[in-house]
Amino acid sequence: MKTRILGFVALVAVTVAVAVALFVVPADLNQGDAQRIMYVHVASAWLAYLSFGVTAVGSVLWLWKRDLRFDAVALSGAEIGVMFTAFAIWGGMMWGRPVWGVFWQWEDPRLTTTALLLALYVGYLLLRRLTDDPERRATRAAIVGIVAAIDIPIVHFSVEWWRGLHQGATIGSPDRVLNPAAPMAFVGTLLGMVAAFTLTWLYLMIRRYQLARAQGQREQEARLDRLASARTAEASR
Amino acid sequence: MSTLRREATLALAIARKDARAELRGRHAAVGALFFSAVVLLLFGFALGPDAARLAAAAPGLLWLALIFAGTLAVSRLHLLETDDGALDQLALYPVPRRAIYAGKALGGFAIMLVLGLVVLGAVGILFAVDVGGALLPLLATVVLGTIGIAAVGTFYAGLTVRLRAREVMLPLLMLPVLAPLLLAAVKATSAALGGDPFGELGAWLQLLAAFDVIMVAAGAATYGYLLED
Amino acid sequence: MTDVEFVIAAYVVIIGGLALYTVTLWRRLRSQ
Repeated sequence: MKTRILGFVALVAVTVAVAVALFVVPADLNQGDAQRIMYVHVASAWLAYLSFGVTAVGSVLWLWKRDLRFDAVALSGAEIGVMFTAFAIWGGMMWGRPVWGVFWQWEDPRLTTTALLLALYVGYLLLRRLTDDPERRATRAAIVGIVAAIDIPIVHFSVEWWRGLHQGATIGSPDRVLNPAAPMAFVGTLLGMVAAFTLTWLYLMIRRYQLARAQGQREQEARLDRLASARTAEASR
Repeated sequence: MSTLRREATLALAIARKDARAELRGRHAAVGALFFSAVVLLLFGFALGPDAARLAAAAPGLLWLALIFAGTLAVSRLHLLETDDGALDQLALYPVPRRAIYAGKALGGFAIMLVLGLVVLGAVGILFAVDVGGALLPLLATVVLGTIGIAAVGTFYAGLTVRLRAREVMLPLLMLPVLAPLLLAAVKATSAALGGDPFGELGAWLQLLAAFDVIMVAAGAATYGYLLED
Repeated sequence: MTDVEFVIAAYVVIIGGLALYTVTLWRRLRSQ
């Protein structure tokens, strides 16, 4: 019930935030309307990182406590994180084309890093599908989740460096809105969008977790059934 | 101290066993070697025949060929273990799992190093780059780079070896993780070949070394969980 | 394509994707 209220609040928040971002806040002086993409792009990227952080924490806790609930948390983070990563990439491309003239800006370390993140966690999700035993699956996934999380800062740092040593100046930095001199309307809209997306994220995480738990329950029952029928077959022999 | 020595002994024994099996003709290295040669030739076809362009692309091609060949080599090394149940037996030894990881990674590194040196020479010949002129920094790059490939590869090969569809899963999981290594190794190689005009070689080698340390530590810390399941 | 069209493309895919995922999640939950 509480989750349902959260979902409703998230829906209203996203509707309002999108309406403000599209129709209320003024267009950027330099980038024009294209800059409106930034709000959903940045919000998606933030939630992608948050999700993968949750996955890493869930993975560590599973290895430590051996409680499948933590594995369900890790799975939820990865799946929802992959979705938000895809959104962040899509938003970045749609923003890059009008502003930079290209969909893919290799000079921007974030876009490249995010694309690698997508590959890492799609691999994580595929790996989960390939293992049937729940605990084995949780362990393998947890290890991949942890190493992927360790890899994120290295990837980010090295890509940043790769570009930095190569070319001095940064082009059309997407951070302009995040700097203190930006008009309050932009900052407020961004924060509102981030808050609305985060509420949605929380709702989806809870629902995905419930789904994972329900599936785990089913798996468990099926396993017990199989065990029981094997035993009756044994007894009748 | 004595436990550490015991671990080191076991790691060396595993590495030596892998190397000996390799010499006796299990052909992980030979297969990987010819695979990387074919990859280099195909890159040549894809980008050639303009010699200047090939020479400019040579560092990237070198490392792509090595990384691709590396996925083959490490998966072969682990496949052999599961075929005869040797990995399960290793898991029964009363030593920390990290020793087993160190041994497997060391064996992988030995193969990758040989591979790296040969492929470096092949790149020098095929793409007409002066390898001899900057031998020392190039050797350092190859050593640091192949350590990283072996460290990450051993870890993911151990993870995927018992999976269905491991041929797909190993590269899918391993290649994105190796992206920073590719970046740093290619940069270091081209800096070395170009005479390092911007003095950036040291920085890239440091990045490679840091990558190696982190990935070896991560592999050693988590490999044990793989053997348990 | 104009700027506005890119904005539409971005918002439709992202907000639409969120909605789609949510609905799929409800379906999966109900089928459990």
